[in-house]
Amino acid sequence: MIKVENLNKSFGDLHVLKDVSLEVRKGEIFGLIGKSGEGKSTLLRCINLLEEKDNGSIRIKDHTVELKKSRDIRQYRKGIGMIFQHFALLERQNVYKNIAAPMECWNYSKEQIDAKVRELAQIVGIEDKLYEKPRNLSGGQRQRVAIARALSLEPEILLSDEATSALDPKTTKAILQLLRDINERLGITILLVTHEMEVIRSICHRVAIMEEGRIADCGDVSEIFLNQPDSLKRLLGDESEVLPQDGVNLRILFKETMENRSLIPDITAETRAKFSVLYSRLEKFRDEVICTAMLNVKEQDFDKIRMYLDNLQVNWEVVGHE
Amino acid sequence: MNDPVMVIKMVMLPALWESLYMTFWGTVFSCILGFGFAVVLVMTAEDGLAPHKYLYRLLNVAVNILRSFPFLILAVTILPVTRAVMGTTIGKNAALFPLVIVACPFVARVFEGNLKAVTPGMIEAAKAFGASNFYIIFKVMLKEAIPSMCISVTLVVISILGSSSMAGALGAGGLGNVALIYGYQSFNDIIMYGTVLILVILVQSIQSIGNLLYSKLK
Repeated sequence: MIKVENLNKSFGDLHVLKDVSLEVRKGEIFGLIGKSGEGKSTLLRCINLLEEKDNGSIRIKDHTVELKKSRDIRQYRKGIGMIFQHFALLERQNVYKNIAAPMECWNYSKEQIDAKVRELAQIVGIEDKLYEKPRNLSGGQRQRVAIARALSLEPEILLSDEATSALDPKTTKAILQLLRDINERLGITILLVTHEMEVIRSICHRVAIMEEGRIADCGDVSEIFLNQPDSLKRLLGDESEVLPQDGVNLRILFKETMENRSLIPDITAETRAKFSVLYSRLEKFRDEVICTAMLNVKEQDFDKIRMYLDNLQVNWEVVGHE
Repeated sequence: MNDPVMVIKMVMLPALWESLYMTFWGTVFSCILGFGFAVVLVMTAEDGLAPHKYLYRLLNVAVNILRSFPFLILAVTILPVTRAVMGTTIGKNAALFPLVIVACPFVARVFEGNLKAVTPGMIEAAKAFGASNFYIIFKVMLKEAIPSMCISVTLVVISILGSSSMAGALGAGGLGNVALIYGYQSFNDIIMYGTVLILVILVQSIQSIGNLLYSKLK
């Protein structure tokens, strides 16, 4: 759906995007995560031409995007919806007018606009707020209005620039659920940028991790979390300083299924090794559950446990003391 | 000239009418022209919708030069132009010309500020759904800036009222002329300070109306 190849972008001396390549498939929710200032938003803005790329190519549905005339650029942007961290609503217009704005701009008829506004208000759940001004709405409601506005021209692609970063955790969840519903109901492809792991975990099919203007790793969300590439660890932060100094600290990761639910007691039963469980947690990735456990095992038991885990094809790794 | 009723009827009321006439039309014309210049300034600025370095610089310098002139000096300097355009240099209509020339760059500056204060995010969102520059200027920036522009217009009205009083010294008529001729030069303190009192009431009322409109529009 979206194919970015060797994209470069600089602001003066600052090289923000370095040879970025990325492919977003039709109908998926693709997450782009990284710390702030890594170039994620710039990449998004290059895709809908709010920023001009230096070189590289952008292809949408197998058409290379190489537009110069403002009329063509406007037509192109029409097919891509976008939502923002701070909602960017027209403060002096009510919700109805805000959702209608793009259609008004493109000269839709009054009847078309009215029908579409009401349909979208229902989808995003703000049908009772149509005549309120944005300032009387909560952050979550404002983002719902912005989502409705972004969908009003029936785009095939939705770009989301930190859309939940200004919201509290509960509202974030609700908005993410809404994005997922829209993705499933309307089949719209979503490319979102975020710095919150929660966003990636709960709705994304695939993820790319950005570091210093490059794509460090890219893949299915659960695969990335199971394999824990270095870029992901850097993003999650170092936990070694709270771990015990003696023995071997072993992190194991596995998709939770009926068979392996008792994995940890099974290790003891099979290897007769004694160890302590420092923590263990379950995390939901869209609909899959991944279990992470941190064990502290004695040096002499390490080989036995390692072999047992390898046999079961469970991902593990030793977490250093540094 | 000592009968208060006669003074009010024959001098004050016509002068008040002339002052209001000059202020009203001065505001209307300078706001229309000033808005046009403000739009060009905002659009051609470096971070604007259609950046144009030279046009922006030209307009920027022109605005600054015109704003540097004290009103009286400018009015005298352009007397020949006034005569050519308006056909005369005496009276309220002749005074309108320098009033607009002086107020126009001022309006351009304050409106430019108002338009620039519109959150960039809104403009970006409009661009993202494919809005044209025309749509962004009139449906996004202008609409969002209207309350603050209302405050600016209040400022402009009062400033033009002030200038129009000064124009009285050049034969424009109005309250300034009365305060000068019938008050100051005739040693009549009552007329002089009476006119000032009327001006104080005018300014106060204009400001109150402006504030009221602002709170209604916001």
